[in-house]
Amino acid sequence: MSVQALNRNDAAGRFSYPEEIKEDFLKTPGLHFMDGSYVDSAAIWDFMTVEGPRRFPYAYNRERNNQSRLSKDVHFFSGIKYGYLNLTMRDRLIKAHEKGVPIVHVEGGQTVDPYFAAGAIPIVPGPLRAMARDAVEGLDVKDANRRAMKIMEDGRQAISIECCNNPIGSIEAIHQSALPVDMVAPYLCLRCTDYSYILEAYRTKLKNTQLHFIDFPVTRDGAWTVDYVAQLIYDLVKKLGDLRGAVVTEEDLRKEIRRENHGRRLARETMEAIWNAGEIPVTGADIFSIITSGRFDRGDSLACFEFLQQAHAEVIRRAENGVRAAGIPEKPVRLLTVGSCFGFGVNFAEEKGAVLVGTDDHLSKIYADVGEQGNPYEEIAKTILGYDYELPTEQRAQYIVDLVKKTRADGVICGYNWGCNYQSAVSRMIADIVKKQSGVPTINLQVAELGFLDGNEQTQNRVEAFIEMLS
Amino acid sequence: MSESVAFAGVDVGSLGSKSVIFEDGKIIGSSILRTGLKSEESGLDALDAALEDAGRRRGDLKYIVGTGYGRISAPYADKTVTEITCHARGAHFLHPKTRTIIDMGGQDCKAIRLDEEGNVTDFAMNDKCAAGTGRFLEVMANVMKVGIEDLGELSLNATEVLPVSSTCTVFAESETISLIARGEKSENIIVGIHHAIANRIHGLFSRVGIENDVFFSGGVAKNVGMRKALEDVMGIRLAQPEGDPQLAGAIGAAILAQEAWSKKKILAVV
Repeated sequence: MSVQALNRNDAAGRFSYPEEIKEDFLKTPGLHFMDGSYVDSAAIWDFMTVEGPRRFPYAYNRERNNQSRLSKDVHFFSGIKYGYLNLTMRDRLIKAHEKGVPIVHVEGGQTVDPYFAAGAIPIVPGPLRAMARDAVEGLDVKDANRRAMKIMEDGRQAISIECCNNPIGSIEAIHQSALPVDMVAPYLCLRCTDYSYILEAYRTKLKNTQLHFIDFPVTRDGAWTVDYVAQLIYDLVKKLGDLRGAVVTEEDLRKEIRRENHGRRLARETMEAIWNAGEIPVTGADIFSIITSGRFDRGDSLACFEFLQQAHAEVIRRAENGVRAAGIPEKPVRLLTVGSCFGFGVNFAEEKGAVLVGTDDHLSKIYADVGEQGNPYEEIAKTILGYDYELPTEQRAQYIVDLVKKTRADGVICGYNWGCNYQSAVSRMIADIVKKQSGVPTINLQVAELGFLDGNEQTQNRVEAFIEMLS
Repeated sequence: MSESVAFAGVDVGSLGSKSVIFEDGKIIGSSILRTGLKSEESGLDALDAALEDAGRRRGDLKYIVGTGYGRISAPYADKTVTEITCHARGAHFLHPKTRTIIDMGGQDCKAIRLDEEGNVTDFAMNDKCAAGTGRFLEVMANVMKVGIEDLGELSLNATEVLPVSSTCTVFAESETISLIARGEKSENIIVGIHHAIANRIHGLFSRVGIENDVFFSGGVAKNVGMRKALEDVMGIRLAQPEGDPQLAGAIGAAILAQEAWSKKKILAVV
């Protein structure tokens, strides 16, 4: 059984949510937020059908390469709520900041338990860049993309360090005050070599923003590394508490850890239900929402958690009933992507007969629980030191081989952004090991386009040929 | 008189637009034109030229497959397929023993491996760079003030291979200008240019491996100097099939058109 996409198109190629789903949607629960507020499904519906299309037309544009496009599967109601979390994130952050909640820029490849526990809001580069773009409203897809590109180009011109687009765009967004950010405080995971850009920006233009790096002892040898990272986390939490004039207790940390562990478990169970289902029950866009919510990256860990609860229930129901999501091809080629920060076009892949079943980077975070007993700082440190994605390359490749089995992937796309020194070095090695050990074809892609709207024919040509090869 | 059952493949590349008309498993017409500014028009022009060559009309075509970079603007096509898949099928048709393809077009070069049925098993392409492509040769022909079609023949008269960088077309261009200024013999520079590209292709094959027979497809495959440079640098013998290697992509597209139509017909009967 396949769900039809009931999207209505207007002349500009935008879709709207159809009235006939409204009644059922309103029967579903809303979302609670960390500030104590609650938004019911009627308010979400109103936002997504009236305010959203007016303020953020680009999100409703069906252009194939529009990476910010809402899920085409309008019957997956959790997906509409994720869209709401996405489109209201900037409003919520500005409101929280006005109330004294510190906004902290972190890395995409890390868990965020201590930041939320300390009463702050951690923001990863992708959403931060999107929110900076959204400082100007009413833009359709081309103008929105142009604005995002302009911010990144400004950053590229200001500091001539070659690195991937993400830190350039997000740091420049902070510099341009497109969003109030109080601190830049990522974990220095192995994944990213772009801290040189952040550091240079801090020296030259981010003078009013605090910088706090959580060092990553690559050797991981012995207890000292846990003690060392635990101390850095303690300092971070203390600093965040000081920013809002509050003392953060170990119980605050444990409470947040319990919530996030529960959320990670929900994200894992949801993904495993998707992988094991006879038909793919949700679109690639919704799969991505589920995985990234398991990293609590929409500015509110409670709302992300509740989204995961609802998505979990919907996915299980669909999987049991053999529902295939709208727009998912029959017998799709299942693709696992490997590598961080390169935007994989899920809509393009679905048009060409494939579906994204996961990304090794984001999945590694939803499989990274934090111990609930013992000293919470040490438990967080142990988790940071154990990320699958940050393992030495051969071990990371082994993790991907296991993921290939788990996701039942037909092919693996290893990718990296031009300028990413680290991934460009390991991507080929991983592609070779995974191919040899799993027997599944792999492809190694350098993604060189600055934006995702234009100039991506060469990348898409490789992806399309890879899908044809696997069909 | 029985109804005509003809199929077309249209391959709109960055420099050349090619089309092939297929009927009863045979090529009955073809065309190669220069791609203009509008790829849709270029594809249609190539299609009409091939139809004229075949003595057929558009109405005779049952199915059209578009390929090449221009396929994104091919509303006339019933289906589009990447040129990687099409080159594999086309090379298999022209030379069934093909297991490896070197494809050099205007915008990129590809290393393609295929099985005994012409299905792609692995491939690699140069990344976002003109070095190692037909465009590289065009730039160099311009620097050397010779026609692109004469470049290959001239290289065969070289007495030594002068080293030219394969990293970048712009760097290689300035190196070539330096070599000219130094008074080096043109033929030796030209052979150096061909070797630079061959080295680049050789590097591409380190990713996917080589198995005989090796088929050289794409517009550059007509350049005798390039064929020789590839054989010298890679230590291989290139297959010498009948037929135009520049048409391989369009031939593959026409074969896929026939297959898609047959499948559709079976489904319609069921």
